[in-house]
Amino acid sequence: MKYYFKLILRQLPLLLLDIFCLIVDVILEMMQPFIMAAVLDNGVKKGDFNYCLIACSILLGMTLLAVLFSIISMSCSVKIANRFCQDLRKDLFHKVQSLSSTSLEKYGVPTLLTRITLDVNVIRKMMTLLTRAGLKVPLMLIVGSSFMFIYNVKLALIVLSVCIVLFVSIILIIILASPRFKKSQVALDDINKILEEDINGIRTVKSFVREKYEITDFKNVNDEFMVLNRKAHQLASLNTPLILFGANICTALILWIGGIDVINVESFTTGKLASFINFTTIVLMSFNMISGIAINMAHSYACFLRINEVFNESDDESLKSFDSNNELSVDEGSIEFENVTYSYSNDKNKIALGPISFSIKSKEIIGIVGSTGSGKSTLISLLPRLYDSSSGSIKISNNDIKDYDVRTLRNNIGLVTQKSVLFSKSIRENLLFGNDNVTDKEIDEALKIASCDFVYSFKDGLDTKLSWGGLNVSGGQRQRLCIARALIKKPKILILDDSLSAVDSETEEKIKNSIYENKNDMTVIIISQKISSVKNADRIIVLNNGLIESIDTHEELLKKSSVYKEMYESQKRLSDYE
Amino acid sequence: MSKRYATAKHPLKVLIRMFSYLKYHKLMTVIVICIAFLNVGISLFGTFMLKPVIDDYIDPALNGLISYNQLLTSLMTISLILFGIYIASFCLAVLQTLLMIKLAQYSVNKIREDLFVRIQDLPLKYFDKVNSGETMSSFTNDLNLVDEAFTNSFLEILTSSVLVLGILIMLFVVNWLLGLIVVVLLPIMILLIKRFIKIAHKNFDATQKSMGEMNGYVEEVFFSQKIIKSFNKEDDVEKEFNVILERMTNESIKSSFYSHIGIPVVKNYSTIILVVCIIVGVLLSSVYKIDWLPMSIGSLSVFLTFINQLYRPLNRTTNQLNIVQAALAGIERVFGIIDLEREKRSDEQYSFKKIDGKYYWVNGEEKVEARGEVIFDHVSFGYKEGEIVLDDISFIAKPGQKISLVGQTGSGKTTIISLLTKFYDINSGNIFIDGINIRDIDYKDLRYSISLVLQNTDLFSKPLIENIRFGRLEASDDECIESLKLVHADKFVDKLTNGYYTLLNGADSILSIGQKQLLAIARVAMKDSPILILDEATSSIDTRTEMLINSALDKVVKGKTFFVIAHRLSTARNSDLIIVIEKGRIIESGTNAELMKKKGKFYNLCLKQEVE
Repeated sequence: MKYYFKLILRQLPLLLLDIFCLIVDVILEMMQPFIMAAVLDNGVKKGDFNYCLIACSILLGMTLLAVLFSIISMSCSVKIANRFCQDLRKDLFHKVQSLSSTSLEKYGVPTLLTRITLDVNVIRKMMTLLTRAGLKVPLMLIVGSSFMFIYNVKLALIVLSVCIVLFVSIILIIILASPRFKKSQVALDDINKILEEDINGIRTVKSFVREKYEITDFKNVNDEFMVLNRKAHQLASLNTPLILFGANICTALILWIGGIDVINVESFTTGKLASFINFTTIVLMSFNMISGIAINMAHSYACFLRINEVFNESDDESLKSFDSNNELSVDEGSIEFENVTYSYSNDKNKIALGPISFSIKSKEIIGIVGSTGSGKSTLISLLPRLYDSSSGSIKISNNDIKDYDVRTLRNNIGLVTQKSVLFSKSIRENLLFGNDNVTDKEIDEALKIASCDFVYSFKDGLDTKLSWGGLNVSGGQRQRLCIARALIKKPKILILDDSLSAVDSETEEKIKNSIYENKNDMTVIIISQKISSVKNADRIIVLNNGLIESIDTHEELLKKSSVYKEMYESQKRLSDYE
Repeated sequence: MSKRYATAKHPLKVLIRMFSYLKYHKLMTVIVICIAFLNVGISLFGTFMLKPVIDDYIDPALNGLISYNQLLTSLMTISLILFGIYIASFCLAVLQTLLMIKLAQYSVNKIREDLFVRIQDLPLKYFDKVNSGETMSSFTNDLNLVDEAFTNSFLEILTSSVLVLGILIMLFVVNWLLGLIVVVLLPIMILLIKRFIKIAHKNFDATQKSMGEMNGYVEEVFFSQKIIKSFNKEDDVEKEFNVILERMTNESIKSSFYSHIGIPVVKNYSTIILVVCIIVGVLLSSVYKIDWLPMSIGSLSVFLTFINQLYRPLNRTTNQLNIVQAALAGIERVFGIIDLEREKRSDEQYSFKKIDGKYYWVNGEEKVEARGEVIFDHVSFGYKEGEIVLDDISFIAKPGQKISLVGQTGSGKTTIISLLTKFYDINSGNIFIDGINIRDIDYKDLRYSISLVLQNTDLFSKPLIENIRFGRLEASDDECIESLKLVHADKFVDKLTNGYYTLLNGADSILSIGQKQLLAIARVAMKDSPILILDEATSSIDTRTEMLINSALDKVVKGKTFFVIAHRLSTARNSDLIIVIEKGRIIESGTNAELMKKKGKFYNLCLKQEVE
């Protein structure tokens, strides 16, 4: 809550201007019935044309002023609402980037995207409403009520009581409607999830001929959303007829009692009665704005909760290591794992990896093989602290990785993930991701090592723009670009996580040899399914079911490791052809 | 992203079609409209009562023309009548609102459903051309607008227009001359409103575009967090985002300003009308002493009150018109998708049926056993006009054979599969399954007879076991678990939080690519079809596991025709027939031994992979 106040306070000058203009606007608006009453009583009744002329000119002047101030206040409110949301989005974006990988996976990208786009939009509409109608209404109520009390206390009290009743019911309705809106929002998320998966997985749906099944699934969530959305809106919209009813009853009462007063009270004229009714209409109709705001707030509240949920997530542990005074540097690429375990869930009994212990010397070439799900990717994700181990310690260059500023750590680890991720920018910009201070010569070198000569065959070369989803380059080309990007970084530790799967064997061999020849001080870790890829490594780690089965050279493993031997034999067997 | 325009191209046509969705609830619609009109009438009546009360009761009482008691009685009577009417009006209004919302939700629900149903039947061509984000946008953004339009706008526009009309009539009734003045001055107000709408629209497109830009950027960043973190690019990415955000915010401010500017102007314009009326009115009655114009206080009060009530419905109508315009543009897009050409169904229908445990192609009386023989006969195909992706492909796959398709990425292997499953239609040549031309087989029956494991595993956000059951909906839990055991996936499934019932979370699930593919194979093992196709699915699984899967598959594919798009030659070696494709043509085909003897392309590929 305090956070949102802070955001609003940033717009304080605009807010004050807004309020000022609104006050003037309201006063001008409220003066009109007065003048009208005067015109009716003194001008029309007595047939005084000049009086009318003067009064009307004043009225016109006030109107023009009102327009001016209204426009200024409106422009303020629009700015305030939009800047508020801009700040909100900035902070939310920052927060999402600070989340741990586990938290990110918990939410999934689609809902985070919705929260930063759609949910904030809802809040923007609310802020626009609040900074305009939200400020105007209390002003109108105050000014209007004051005038009414000046005119006729008895009638004013009637109006006041109706107002209080209306106000209470509106609040009640918000309170009841809010949880309903939240439920309907969740149902909408469900619809979007099924939609997104269906559209992206349409090939699977078609090949299994599951169209009807998908439709049934969809109908269920669609219908559920309909019911929930209907219930939420129906409740929230009761306000409008309620307010109209209140206004009407009020008018009738005033007509009755006011009419009597006109006869009994000398100073209360018919002109004033008509005026009073006018005031009442203005005051009570402003409740329409209140209800509009209330409905909007009910909806926005649900969005606020969703956004707050993200803000309340704890930051990634590794952020705690940010410290510009931490001068610990990664001098070389030696790695040591000591009794490291990792589990997906908080249930410590479901250990996915470990306990694992091993050490890698600097500049070694290490291969990691193992069956699917044996934990290879998880293991190397621990190195740049994309995940943190559940227990045990990991050291790089003789320092616990938690002692480094994680940015220093990551600068020295070049990770090429299984799934190649490139951005919709030019190839050059993608490559510079690794290091913006490289010369063109260094870029060329990296491209050469990673066998990316195809870049030069593109019309725009390095300035070719890649599209999101990478439809304009093949899978193998993407992988190679990712490798080049990591090489440009000149890391102490290079990790290739099955990064050559989409590349043919000839090219793969070329790239590997290139890397080995040019590795200088780099420790290279290659994860692969193929023995042939890791055969020439200094040592090979064999993972099985989250544990290390053996670590040794290719020749020794053939003798000692049953798992390794089996893999090798299976590959060899398939290649017998004489 | 294609341009999202602000106005529909054929608004009237779209509007009518949109309203046709109300036909499902005709009675409700009629009731709602009647109540709405009734309420408008009551509201006008109430305001109008001011005149007789003042002119016929209060003023005369003031002037002693009627007694105090008479006044009291009359006032009380009128008030009680009004109370009664207002209570009735309230009940009606509540009913109207409840029904209107129900109606709106029904209609939007139906449109959304129609859209989804239609999408299931669209050919793959559509999905390859249009990116998923845009299709999604039609469901979410466009239908959101439609929802608003149905729920609020239509009724609001209807009642407001009737209200305005009613007020104008009342004005005439009260004082025809002044009423005339109003009618003359009113069009200017309407012109003003129209002008402001136009200005608002100009900015709408720009805002939409920059919002789309922001959306796209955020999506990309959120999906790529691991890479961004490992390259320490969080700050740079954020800076870039802030630039885009600033741009978008500025557009939004402009757009909001222009869409709201009309309100204060229009509202205060009615004061101008008021002023003119007073001047003219007083002028005529007092200065020129025109007696036949009713200028009583009562009538003037009513007149002024009515004028003050004019701008509100006009403003409301304007606002809602904005929404309706946007909604019409949105629903035009939606209808555009619904009207797209669906996948073609065959006229000559051979359906795929299981009779006594065996599969047959049935067409009326004719019954052909489905053994899984596939013949490609001089098939040529291109995705676009003039493009040749496959050139004169011919081969025969005998039932029960294992056939490997080998070739570089982009050579056409995946395309062959797309043609076999009728994801696309061939340009020339024929494809026969069990002697029947697939043109004569409906695409749904064809796909029942073929099991496909694709590169993208497309697992859904459901419990893991439900994803497996996707292969055969009637399968029991045990059968699904059996299938998982068959592909040796049970070991890693056990480690997950809820084991077999773990909820998979779509694209971001914690499973590795290899694990997902194992699940996809388990899923396909549930389906019992004469033809099985594997499309590069095993490239990210280690050789050891691949061996286990292969032996499991061997059990599953017994007697079935098995196509494998082999990325690695080790897979291809073990087949009955190897087809080598290069640039859309078959350059070699035969058994492993035959191709080795030939010492052609395949032989060379093998040599390269063998690094001894």
